[in-house]
Amino acid sequence: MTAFQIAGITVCGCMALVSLRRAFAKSGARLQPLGWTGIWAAATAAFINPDATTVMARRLGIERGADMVLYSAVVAGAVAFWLVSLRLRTQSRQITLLTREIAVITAKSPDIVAEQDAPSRVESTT
Amino acid sequence: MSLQANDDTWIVIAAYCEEAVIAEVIAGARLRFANVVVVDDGSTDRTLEVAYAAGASVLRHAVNRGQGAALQTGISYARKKGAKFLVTFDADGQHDPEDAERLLEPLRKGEADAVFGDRLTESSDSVPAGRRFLLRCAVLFSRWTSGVDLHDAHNGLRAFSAGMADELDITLDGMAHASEIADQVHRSGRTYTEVAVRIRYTAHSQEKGQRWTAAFGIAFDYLIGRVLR
Repeated sequence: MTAFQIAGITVCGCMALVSLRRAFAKSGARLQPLGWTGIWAAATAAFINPDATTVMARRLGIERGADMVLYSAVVAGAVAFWLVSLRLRTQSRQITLLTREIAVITAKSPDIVAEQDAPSRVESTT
Repeated sequence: MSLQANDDTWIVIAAYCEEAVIAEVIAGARLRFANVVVVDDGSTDRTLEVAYAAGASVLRHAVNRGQGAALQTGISYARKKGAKFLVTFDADGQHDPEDAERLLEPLRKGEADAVFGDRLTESSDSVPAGRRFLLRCAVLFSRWTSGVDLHDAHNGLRAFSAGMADELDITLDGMAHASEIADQVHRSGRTYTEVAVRIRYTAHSQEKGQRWTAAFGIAFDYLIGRVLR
């Protein structure tokens, strides 16, 4: 086993344990941390036995394990980008709504001038 | 028409850094309309103070959100104040208050719930050629994406009845709001029409206007907004 594998197993293994702990915390959602536990556990397994990725890849019709990992990373990156964009859009909308609320609350109106004291009216030409 | 006759109407002006011209714009509007609201969209100059001194009701966005956001704020405020009709009006002096009155005529007669100003049908010579081409592309884009049949979908001079205003929900904060407004009016099933208006292009308004390259971003914003709605 190489030093790189040992480092990878250590980091991914710890992250899997942290996620698992979060999944069984007294409060909070469970599904997301369980999902992350699965991802970190799969990464740990790939570091322990890199050839396992090739076995999995061939089952999916992909020649090499490295290609499968790369494709998965690209898809995951695209999904993550989309989710972050959606979140940013939602936050932008919330900022607008908050800004509007404050603007309406702090609105100022000048005194209404009586019509007889107003500047000369414009006669309609239409 | 007198100020009293237009008592039921609010002029809604979204403004960003318009301290140079806003007083004149408000003064012109207030000759015909008693109720003018200016939404200062996070200006870094004295737009708010100048507008207030000129006699407009003023609201201020603490941060700049875009013209679409500012217009919706103004529309919401005007409806809160009991506006029976609303007219959106540009802050850069391009629009004529007399045209705003003409836009109200179909609304008052009950012939329509939304009236859009059309600067391309009769007064196209006053519109610079490059801008005219861009606006015609915008019209084709609107027709293709939402079926809206307007000659000038991106004119800031529009008038709405209270009912139409209540149905509007501008979610696109930037310049794509114009397409969104036209789209929402069309989808509401309410009657809309166009009235020929004049546009006064000045050095100031040309400088504040959109670059042609912004058109792609606006179209993209609009399409994404439609997908996510």
